[in-house]
Amino acid sequence: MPVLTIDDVEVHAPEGATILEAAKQADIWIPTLCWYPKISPSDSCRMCVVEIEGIERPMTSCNTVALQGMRVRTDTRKIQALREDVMKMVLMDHPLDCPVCPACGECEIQDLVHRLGISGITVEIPKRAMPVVNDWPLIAYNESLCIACGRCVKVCHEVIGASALEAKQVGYATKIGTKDGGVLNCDFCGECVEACPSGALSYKHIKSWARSWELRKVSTICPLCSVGCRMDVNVKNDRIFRVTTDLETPNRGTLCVGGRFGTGFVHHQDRLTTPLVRKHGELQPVSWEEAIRFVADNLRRIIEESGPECVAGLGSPRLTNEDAYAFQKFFRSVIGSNSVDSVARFSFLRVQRAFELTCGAKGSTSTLEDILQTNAVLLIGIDPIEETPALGWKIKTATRRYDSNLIVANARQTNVDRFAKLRLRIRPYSESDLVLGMMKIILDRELWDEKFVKEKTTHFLPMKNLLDKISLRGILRRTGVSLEQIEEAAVLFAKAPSAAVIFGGDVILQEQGLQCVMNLANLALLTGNMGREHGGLYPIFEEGNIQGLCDMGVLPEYLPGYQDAATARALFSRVWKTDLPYSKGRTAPEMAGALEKGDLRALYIVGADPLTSFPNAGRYASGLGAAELLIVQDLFLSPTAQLAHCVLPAAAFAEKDGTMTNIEHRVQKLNQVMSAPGEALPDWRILEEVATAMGRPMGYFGVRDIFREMTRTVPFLTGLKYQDTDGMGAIRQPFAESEGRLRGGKPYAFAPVTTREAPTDEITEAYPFEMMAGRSMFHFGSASTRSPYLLSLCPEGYVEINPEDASALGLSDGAPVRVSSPAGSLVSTCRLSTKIRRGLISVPTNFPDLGVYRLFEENTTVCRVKVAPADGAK
Amino acid sequence: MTEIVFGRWGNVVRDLRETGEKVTVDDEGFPSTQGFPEDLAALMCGKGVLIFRKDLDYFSMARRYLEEIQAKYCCGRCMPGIRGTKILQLVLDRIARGEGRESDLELLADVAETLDLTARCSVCQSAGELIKDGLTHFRQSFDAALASGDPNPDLRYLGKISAPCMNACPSHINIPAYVEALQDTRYEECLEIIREEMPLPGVTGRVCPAPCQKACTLANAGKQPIPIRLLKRVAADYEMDHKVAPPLHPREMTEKPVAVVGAGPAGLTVAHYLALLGHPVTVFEALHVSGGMVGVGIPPYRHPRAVLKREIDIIRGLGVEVKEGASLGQDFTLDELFSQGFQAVFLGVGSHKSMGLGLDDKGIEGVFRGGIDFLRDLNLGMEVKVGERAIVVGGGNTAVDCARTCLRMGASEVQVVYRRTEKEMPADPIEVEDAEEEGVIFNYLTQPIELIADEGRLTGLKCIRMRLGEPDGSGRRRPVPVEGSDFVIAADTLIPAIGQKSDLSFLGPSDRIEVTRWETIKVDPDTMMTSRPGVFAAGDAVSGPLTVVHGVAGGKLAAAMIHQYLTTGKCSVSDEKRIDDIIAVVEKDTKVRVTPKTESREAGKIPPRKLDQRERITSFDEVESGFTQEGSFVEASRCLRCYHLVFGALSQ
Repeated sequence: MPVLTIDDVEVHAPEGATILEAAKQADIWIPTLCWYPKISPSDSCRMCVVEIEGIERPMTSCNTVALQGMRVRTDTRKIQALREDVMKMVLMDHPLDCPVCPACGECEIQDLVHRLGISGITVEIPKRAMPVVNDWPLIAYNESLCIACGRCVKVCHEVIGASALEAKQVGYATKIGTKDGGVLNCDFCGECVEACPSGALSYKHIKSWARSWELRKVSTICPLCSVGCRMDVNVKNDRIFRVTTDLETPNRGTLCVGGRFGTGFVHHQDRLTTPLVRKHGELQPVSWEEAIRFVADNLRRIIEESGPECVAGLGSPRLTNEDAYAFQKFFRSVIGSNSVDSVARFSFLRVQRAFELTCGAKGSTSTLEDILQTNAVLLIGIDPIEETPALGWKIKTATRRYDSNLIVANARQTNVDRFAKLRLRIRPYSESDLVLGMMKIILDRELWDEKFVKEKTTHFLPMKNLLDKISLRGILRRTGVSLEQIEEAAVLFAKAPSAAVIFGGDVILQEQGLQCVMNLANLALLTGNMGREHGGLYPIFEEGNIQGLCDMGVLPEYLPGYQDAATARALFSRVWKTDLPYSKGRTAPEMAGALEKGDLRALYIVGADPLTSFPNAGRYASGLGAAELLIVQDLFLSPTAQLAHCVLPAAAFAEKDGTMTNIEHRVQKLNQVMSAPGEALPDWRILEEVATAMGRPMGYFGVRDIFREMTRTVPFLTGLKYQDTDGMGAIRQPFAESEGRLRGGKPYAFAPVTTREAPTDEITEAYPFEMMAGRSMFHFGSASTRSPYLLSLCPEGYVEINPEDASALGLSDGAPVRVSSPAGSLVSTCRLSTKIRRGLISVPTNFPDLGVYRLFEENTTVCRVKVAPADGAK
Repeated sequence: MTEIVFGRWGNVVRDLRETGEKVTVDDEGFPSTQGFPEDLAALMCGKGVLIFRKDLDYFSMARRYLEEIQAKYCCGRCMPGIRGTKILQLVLDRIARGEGRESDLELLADVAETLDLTARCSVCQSAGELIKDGLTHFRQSFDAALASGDPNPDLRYLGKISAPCMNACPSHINIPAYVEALQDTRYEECLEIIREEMPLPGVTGRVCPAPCQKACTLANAGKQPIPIRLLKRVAADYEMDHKVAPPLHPREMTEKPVAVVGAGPAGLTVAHYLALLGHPVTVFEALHVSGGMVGVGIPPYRHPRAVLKREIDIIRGLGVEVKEGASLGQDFTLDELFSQGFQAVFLGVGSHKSMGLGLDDKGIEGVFRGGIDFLRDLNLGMEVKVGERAIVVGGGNTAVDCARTCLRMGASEVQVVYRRTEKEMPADPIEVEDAEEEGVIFNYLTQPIELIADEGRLTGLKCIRMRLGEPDGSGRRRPVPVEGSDFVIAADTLIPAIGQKSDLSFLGPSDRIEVTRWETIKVDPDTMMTSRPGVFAAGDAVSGPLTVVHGVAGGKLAAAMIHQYLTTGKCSVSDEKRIDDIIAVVEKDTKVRVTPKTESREAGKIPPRKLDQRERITSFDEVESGFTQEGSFVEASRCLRCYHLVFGALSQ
């Protein structure tokens, strides 16, 4: 740790720190302009020059490493004069149109001029009046205001890895532009605008209805994906003006297109603002009092008539932990049933089941930051830039900067393919086989971690015996990749000192999802990548608080905190002051079946839209139609809500307090930004009202009450304080190796492996294409399809098809196309893309009007379809 | 001999305008002017100003210098550079138009001073310095311009960016630019910059002796140089490992096919650049393996063949056809090539013939013909066997390659015999160090005098100790035998690796190609054209055995000249070459530094990776695996960017 003096102050700087960093630590201000904490130093503005004893010339402190014994002066007369001279050069042609500048009030040039005490300029050269680039989506560039500091270019390359902007030309003509000079076509995270110290880059859509100093910034959590980035929602008069970030956040002040541009849905005109009750076949506005009475009376009546088991509930990852906790408590203590489930049944809980049999983890085993230090990453069945961009950036940085070896296995081309050492364009459905192939090779070549397997796992031999029976030739046929490629993948993965598997929807949601996830866990165990500092397993779910939803017990099989009723009954009975139901409770697919059979009379849905987002949605459509009582709490009148007997308007994320838990188990606090529209209420409040009306109040007067109770009942939240979840939040891993399987004293167990042939019956002739239910690059779930800025990037659903297939079918880009499966059909527009291979199409599930899942007969995401031009309108 | 009238070089100023004294420039503190063209009227660069013509107008030349900086060389990555040089240019232009103001000279002085002190690198710093020089020593020129505008003298200007490393690289790769790209983790851009001058980054990233690093300002200041070669390799490996297709866009094809004889570094380079210019190229390679010395000379532990193969594949991808097993003289003749429609022929046949020891080795088993033959046979996959105790004679890279190869082939003891000392040894010191680590024994000041055999089998080599005497023609001290010091080294295998030359026996009188007395192909050094019009040559066949990067440099020049020949019918020396020659003189003077910058971080924080020495000799696996990416940007960020614009005024 070098010790140096800066302006006569002794500073103990961390090894490798720059002088600027050391000075900051000692609270010594050095002016900067091009320096930006998210990126490597550019030393282009020369503002941060300092004098170092023994070195004749001024040195830039941003990129000079602090060394033992250095004597630094930051503010000599000479240095001051130089800074002033350079600042005047910056000012010499800078348009001083400050009142109408988008950076007004937040301009770093202005701030610096002010702080340096510069009162005028010595040289004036003709001001430039360059045309403003206004034809890019969402972002505008005003070259006249650009000082060529390079921050936008660097943040785009180093942090986001999109590398969409670059410095163009040389000398005074230097400006920024796109690689090909065309319209900006990038991830649209807006980080370039945030990085801009002046008004050169700005948001096109931000109109002048607020000044920066009028805005109230409230820190909360982005609800759109499971990374849960912390962001500052900037509001004026209860309207979101924009979203910014603080640097001291787990996401290091970075947001993706979702957080930056996707929150507009909260102001959408279609927001539900009053309760609705179906009268004479129509949903009609009613008072809260009437609606609550309607719900309570009907629920009580049905329970009295048929018992609590004929009522079931579906929660949603849109809920906060407190909402989710209240929801399951409502069911277990007020209704008296364990029948609460959610979309997690098809994703998170499948993973959970596979993990239970193998490693015991409940979600990911390592943190997002760990990815930077992981030597090899197998990214399988997910495009992280589409689903969880913040995780995608970590992968990109790891490969660019930290020598990580990325293996991408996907049926489609992903947005991180160009960062991969190995790209395996596997056939859909064959992820499981690919992993088996890798395991076979790892065993054959003795690359497995024998010590780890012996010491920490059980069931290795039974697994190996099964694996030996599976032929590599079959695997090659089913995956469609070459032996060399699988070998390369196996060697890269197994030889890495630490390796991680990051997998997503394509793996989890498929019919063989359980087996596939078990295989992935087997792979991690075989290579000893469990319980290590880096590496491990990262199941990725697109939906916001899916981790918290399950942690809070919105599932029939566990009480909150994954506790068995057998062991935790006493605790909950005491806290809830009521006995707990003994019945098993129904899972979501069982609910659909029970609705069809008439065993289930009432369904209470909080935030979920099975018709849009559940696989095999068609089955729910008929089931929900048959329900005697359907209650839906939501933001919008979703396709599911349209079938309801009572619709209750809920508050959106920005309108409530609470916590959410992200994929790395970080519990993070949401802060209410503004009031909810109309009469909408937070979900927990509505549930408490209903409970009270049913005569069994849960005793919650605020989210803190629920949070406090959670910390008493959920073991891994013990001792957590509500305020600790603000800022950086708190990582609470709900799983410890010592609590693992402990079979034969070992924490981990191998799961049996199987494979199966893809169906090759006559259906393939009638339905020659495979359709993947995919996700749109610019949308997150279906809520964001009501965010105007995201709609400007991707206005509607589409069918992604290989250009060769399209031309064989006579389809052109943008043409109407009909996709039909044995279960149903949809009409959309055609989008030609070489990202997708022949014989495969991909349709995003984000758009409720497309109803992709209605084409599926099973709980899966790939099905056989036929594709044909659709004549005329949709 | 060129004479100066004014000079500032580093801190030394000499003004001879008033005294009328005649002083040649290669005086104390000034560079040797040998190599400057006769018509050079003045030179401005980061190291100083040299003025050779009394009537040279300083204002006018400085104005052109600034114009050039703004138009091409200010990289746009620092605010003082961008804006300071722009102000200077605008003010000089204003004066030139006759619109100057009294206060302008003061303004120039102020901005020049700020620029000199704050610009990020020496390109714009030196622009400031040159203006300061002008205002100090040529005030009257500025005053005159202020009164009556720019005299616009009748001069022609040549300019090119330079840096010590760039000049030292025979291919003149823009090294500071690619090092900066690497610092920014922009591997693709890094390779784009390299490929402008050199199509084999993966190969040279491994085997180049890196003269650039010896020229690095940091090395001259006694510090660790920027590891330029390994940095290049990081980018090349990133591209290769990530299977990125380089963005190379050949022009539309012309109908002027070119035949390239020899698929070595020179031939491949010619093919690469001619293909990019749109000429159809066919490469004829005598062996069944392409790559020339890179393909069959350098052992795979220094350069795995997959690297070369990929780089050749990239060149093939440009539309170049490579025909292996097609030998000039045996399978076809020069005349046949022309009659087949080739419009130009490039000869890059290399230097593949071993020189003998000059000892009687008739019929002795265990004695190889020569190092280069030994390595070639091995690399072509022929059966080659070495014994238990091997001796390699020679001190070049080939000798070290042979020695390390013998170890890997199972020899338990390998000795190198060299008649001078380690200091004179031409082999790359890193190679020698690696060989020593692996267990190769070096016998310096030792000369073989007799082979010892038993029943036709080699059993030993009789040698004599040498001492260094007077310097010989090459400047190295000539080794002289020490009487009575002879001794025997037991050995069953002997590989003489004392040199190689070109085998030009395929050339007949009808080919009309002149050959030098050193048995190399004679070319015009400015145009690389041989004595026969339309036939060009470069590489080892012209220069004698040199390095890959020399071959590439020759190939690049030949490609430009062939293009000129194909499109205009003749070849003439290019401005590029002229300015390169001037730069060579400027950069030769290492006492005067271009950049006053100081290193901002220490070297060697993350050392490059290497195989363990015990592990190495068990296989031909690559020994070095280079920097990690993480290490590379730390090293790259140490670069001082000793860039400057070298700008010459030529009398018309």
